[in-house]
Amino acid sequence: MRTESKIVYGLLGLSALGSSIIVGIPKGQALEPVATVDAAPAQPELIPAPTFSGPQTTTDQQAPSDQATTTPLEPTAPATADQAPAADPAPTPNPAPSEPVSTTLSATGDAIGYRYGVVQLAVTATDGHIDSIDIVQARVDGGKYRAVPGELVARALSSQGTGFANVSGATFTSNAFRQALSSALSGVGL
Amino acid sequence: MNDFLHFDFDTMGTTAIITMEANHDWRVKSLTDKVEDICSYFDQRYSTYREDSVLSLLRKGQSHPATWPADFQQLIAAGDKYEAATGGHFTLTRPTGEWDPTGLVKAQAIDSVAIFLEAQGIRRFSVNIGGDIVLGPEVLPSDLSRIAITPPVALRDGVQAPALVLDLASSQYTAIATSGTTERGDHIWSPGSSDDAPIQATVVASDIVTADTWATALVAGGQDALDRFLAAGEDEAVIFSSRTQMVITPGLSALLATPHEHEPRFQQAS
Repeated sequence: MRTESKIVYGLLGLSALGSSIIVGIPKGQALEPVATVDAAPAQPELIPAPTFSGPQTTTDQQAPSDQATTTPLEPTAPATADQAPAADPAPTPNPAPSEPVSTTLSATGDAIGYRYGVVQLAVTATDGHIDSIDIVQARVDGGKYRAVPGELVARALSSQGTGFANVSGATFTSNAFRQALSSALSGVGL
Repeated sequence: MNDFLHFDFDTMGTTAIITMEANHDWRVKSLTDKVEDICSYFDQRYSTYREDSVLSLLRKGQSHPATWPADFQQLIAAGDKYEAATGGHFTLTRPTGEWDPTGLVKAQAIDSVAIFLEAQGIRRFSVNIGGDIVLGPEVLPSDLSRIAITPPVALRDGVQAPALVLDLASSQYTAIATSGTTERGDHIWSPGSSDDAPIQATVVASDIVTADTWATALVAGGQDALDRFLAAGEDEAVIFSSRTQMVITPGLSALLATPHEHEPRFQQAS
């Protein structure tokens, strides 16, 4: 069987959003509110503490060591000057593929500047099936609220077949997300 | 894995979708008829869109709401209760001073349908009317417990993908409601005016009326409403602002659904 179930469990899980806040971003810098003129005092309670409620215990952004890992794409310079450096995708040691039948690749896409911040995704795929999409960096510039662009991760999750019987709401997208996802996907040959 | 059965019908200017695990012994037709009757009752009695509704007739009679029937008094009292709970950001009083129960009626109809289904011994169901949803008391982890939240229309760019998918099966929450400045039958009369005003709010709560009234309050009341909501600390919310940002409350991340591959198929009730 494919190795993806393990990968999905390890990288996504319930903690995907929590980890997205801190992964790859220096502490104290990521998602710090950028004050705006009309900004209320910072609402620290709006940012969930980066606790891990899911089974995942690792914050390791890199692919599991049993994957064949491609050299991550070189993150491009982000749009803003004070960009936090991306989690350096230090190439993990590249063991021989443990399952010759499956080919697992991971790649980190370009950092895409969008209207209110920067998002960079990493994609892991096995045999052409997306195992995980993780945020390398995500930062929101400005705004009244301290916001988490975690919907970007969730959007990716839903695109891989998250089933649901109901939809709540009025009914967005972020071009930045599509660009970031597309960039990362091209790195794994999808 | 149990299959699901669902039926839908138009009511109250929107669509109702009832979904249940299809392992019950009831007669589908009588059940669906009864559910439709419940919704029709609320529409015929409290609609502000129908000229023949009881409410419309009462309004034409120029009588003071304090003299209206008992169920209207209960509705007025409920409105006052949720207005107080939200610091006035939810209200049934229009800026013109006119009393308008629209903000409560749909949630109360959902609640009534859910109570009816439970009374039939059905424990695993969802009642979705216009995007506000209640789950039955024993919904197991499944598609039924998984609820997608759509992004605000203004931020969609034509893509229909959900912004988030929540799974309420392992939580104490059974209700979720979304309010936005772009919904049909807009009953939010004082949306924030700053350039970063909330444009959509989704609230997860233990009952649908609480969820719905707070969702409305969070859109109408901006930061002050959010402060109050967080101070209450009982429920969770996802809020989109006009600047393409999403705010989630601290406990919400624990409700995020995880991917699953084997999805039960739906049946259409006939």
